[in-house]
Amino acid sequence: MAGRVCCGLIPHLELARRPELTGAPAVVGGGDGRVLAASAEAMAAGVRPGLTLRQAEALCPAAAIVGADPVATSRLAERIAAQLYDLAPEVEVRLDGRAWLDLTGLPLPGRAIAAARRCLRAAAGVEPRLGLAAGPFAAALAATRARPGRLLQVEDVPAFLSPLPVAELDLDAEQLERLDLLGLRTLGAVAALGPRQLESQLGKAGRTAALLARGEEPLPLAPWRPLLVPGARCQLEPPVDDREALLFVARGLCGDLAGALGDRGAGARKVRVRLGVEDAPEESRESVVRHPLSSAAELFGLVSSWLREWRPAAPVTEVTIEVPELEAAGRRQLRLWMGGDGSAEEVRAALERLQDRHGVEVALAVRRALGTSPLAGQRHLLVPA
Amino acid sequence: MPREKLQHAIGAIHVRFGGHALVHAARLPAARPWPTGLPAVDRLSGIGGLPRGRVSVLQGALGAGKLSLALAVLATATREHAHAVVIDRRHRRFDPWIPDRMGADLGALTVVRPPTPAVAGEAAVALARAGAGFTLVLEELPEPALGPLESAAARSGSVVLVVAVGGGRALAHASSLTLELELLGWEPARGRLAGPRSVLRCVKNKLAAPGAEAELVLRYPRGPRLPGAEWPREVERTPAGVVEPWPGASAAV
Amino acid sequence: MTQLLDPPQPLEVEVDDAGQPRHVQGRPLAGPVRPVVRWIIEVDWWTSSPVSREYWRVLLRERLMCEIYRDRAGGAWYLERVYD
Repeated sequence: MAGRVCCGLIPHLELARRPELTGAPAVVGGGDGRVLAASAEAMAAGVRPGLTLRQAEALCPAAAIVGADPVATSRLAERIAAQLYDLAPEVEVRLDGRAWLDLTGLPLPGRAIAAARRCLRAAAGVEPRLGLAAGPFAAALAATRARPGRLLQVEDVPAFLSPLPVAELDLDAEQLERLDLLGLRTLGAVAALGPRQLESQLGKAGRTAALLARGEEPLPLAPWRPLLVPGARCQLEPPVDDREALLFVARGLCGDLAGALGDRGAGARKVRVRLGVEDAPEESRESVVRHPLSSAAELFGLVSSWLREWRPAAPVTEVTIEVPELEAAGRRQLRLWMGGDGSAEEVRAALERLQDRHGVEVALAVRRALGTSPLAGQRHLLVPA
Repeated sequence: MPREKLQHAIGAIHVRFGGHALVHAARLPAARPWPTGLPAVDRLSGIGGLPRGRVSVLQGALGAGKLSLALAVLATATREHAHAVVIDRRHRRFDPWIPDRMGADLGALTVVRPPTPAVAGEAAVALARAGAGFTLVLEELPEPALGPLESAAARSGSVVLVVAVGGGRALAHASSLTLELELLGWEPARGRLAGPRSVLRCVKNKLAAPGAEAELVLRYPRGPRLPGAEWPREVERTPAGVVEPWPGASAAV
Repeated sequence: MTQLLDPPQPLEVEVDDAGQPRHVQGRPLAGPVRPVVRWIIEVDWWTSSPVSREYWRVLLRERLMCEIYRDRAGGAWYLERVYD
C-alpha cells in the first residue's frame, strides 16, 4: 500500500479542553483581542478566526467568550500525541484540532484508525471526523467533509481536490484575492496553472499551493517526539514574539515540572530550555546547577533569567523545559531531614485537611486585584487556597 | 513535672512513635542555616541565616519594626521556597501589599487565618510536619503546640519564625534563636520621619554565642502610593560605621 | 511592616486650628500625636459608594507610627494602620 495518512478532526483544542462549552456558541479570544477559535455554532453565525472579538460579539451575541490558555491547551495536545504515538510511528497533533497518523507500514491500519477515533473522542467529548488519503493535506480535507464518527477515504486525490475552493489553501486574504483576480477559484484551476506560474504570481507560497492542489503533498508531517527526559512542553499557536507571554508560558511549565519532581521526590541538577523558532533552527540553553532545584519558584527563577536575555531569531513556536539530570530520590530524603522543602503534595494536603476541619477560609491564597489602588483593601484579594 | 515522670513520658513517646518523635534539644542535628538576605539577621544568628528545623523568635515592643523585618524575611522566603505560609491570628493584621512590594512571589504564599489560638497551633504544627519551607507566625501560639512544633520542624527542616511582643516562658524555651528589636528613636529623612531606628539584639542562641547587636533603620513609604525602590529599606550601620544598602530591595520594582 | 486594621477602628481626634490632628482617643490607642504626612484619597467617585478620605500619618507619643483617616463624607475618624 502506498503511503497512507489518516487525519482526525476535532474542535480546536482550546474548545475541546472545555467540555462545558459543547453544543453552544463559544469563542476563544487570543491575547491580541482577536478570535482564536470558534465553535461550530458560533461559526454558523459567521464568526471566523482572525475577526476581532467585538466583531464576533456583533455576529453572535449569545456566544460565550473565553480566554485562551496556551499552556493547558498545549498539555492536551501533548497527551493526545502521546496516545496516538502508540498507534503509529509518525503522528502530528495541532492545536487547531487536526491530528494526523502516518499509517505507512502498519500491518493493521484499520485498527489504528479505530483506536485513534476512540482516543480523539475521549479527548474532545465529541465524535471526530476522519479522513484517509495519500498525504496529510488531502486527508485533512477529507476529514472536514466526513460525518462525525465516520471515515472518508480518498482514492483519487486529484479528482477529490479538483472541485474544492481555493480557500482551503493556507493563503492570506491578499493572496486569495490575487487568485480570484486571476480567475482561479478551485483547486483544480490552481493545479492546472501549475507551480511555476503560481510561483511567479505569489512567490514560494504560490508554488506550494499549486503542489498541494495537485495532490503532490509537498509538506510532510512534523512528527511528534516524546520527551525522553522529564520535561514539559508547550506549543504556541500563533507563534509568540512577546517576552512577557513567553515568561507566562514558562512559569506554567515550571509549575508542571515541579509537580512531577515532587512526585518523584527529586530535584533537578541540570536544566535545559529549548525554543522552537519559526522557520529557523531550534535554540537552546542549558546549565548544571549546584543546588538541586525542585520548586516551581526555583525552576522559574533560573528559566526566567535566561528568557529575559534571550533574543530568539524569530517568533517562538514551542517552549520545552527539560531536566535531564535529577538528584536521586534517596538523597533527597536525606536532604529533607537536613532541611529543605517538603513535597508540594504534603503541604497541600495539610492545608486541605485544615480546610476540611475549619472551613475553606482558613487557608487563603493571595491574588493581586487593583494593585495600584490607594485604598489598602482593594489591592489584593485573599481567596480560598 | 517530676523528673521520673518526664523521662517516662519521653520513653513512652519513643516506643509508640519511634525515636524521631521527640528529640532532646541537645540531640538535634546541627542546624543548617537559611540565609534571609538581611545582613543583620544573618550575622546575628551566628550561622549565616535562620536555622532550618528550628523555631526562631523575633520579639520587641509595638512600633519597633519587628513586623517589618519579618515581612522582609517572608518576601525572600516566597522566592526561595515552594511554600511560604503566614499564620495570621487576628484578622487582617497581615497586609499582602507589603511583601508584594518587596518582590515576594505571591504564588508561593498561603495565608492561614485560624479562628482560634488552638487552631493556629494546630496549623503551625501540621505545616511544619508537612515540610512547608517557611512559616511565619504573627502571634504567640498556645503552649501545648510549642513542643510538637519544635519536633515537627526538626524532623522536616522547616524554618519557623514567630513574631511576638514579649516572649512568654514557653515560647522562650522552644526557641533556638531569639532576636529582639528595641526602638531607639525616629529617623528623619528630608524633613519627614522616615522610619524607626532600632537596635536588633540576639538575646538567645542555641547555635552560636548570643549577644551580638546591629542597628537598623527602616524606611516606610511616604504616602499611599509607593514611589519605588526607596521603600522599604534597611540601612545597617556596622560597628565600623559603614552603611550597607539592603540587597534585593530594588528587585521589588 | 504594618498591622492593617479591618475594619478600621473608630477614633476620637482633636485637631488644631490648622486642621491637623493633635490628640487621639480610642481603643487600643490614645495620646498626643504629631502629624507627619497627609494625603487625600478619592476613589470610586463614579459609583454609588464613593470613598473620600483625608489620611494622616501620625506619630503617637513619639513612639508609634499610625495611619488614621477622616471620612470626608461623614466626618468620622478611624485608625487604619499601625506601623511595626
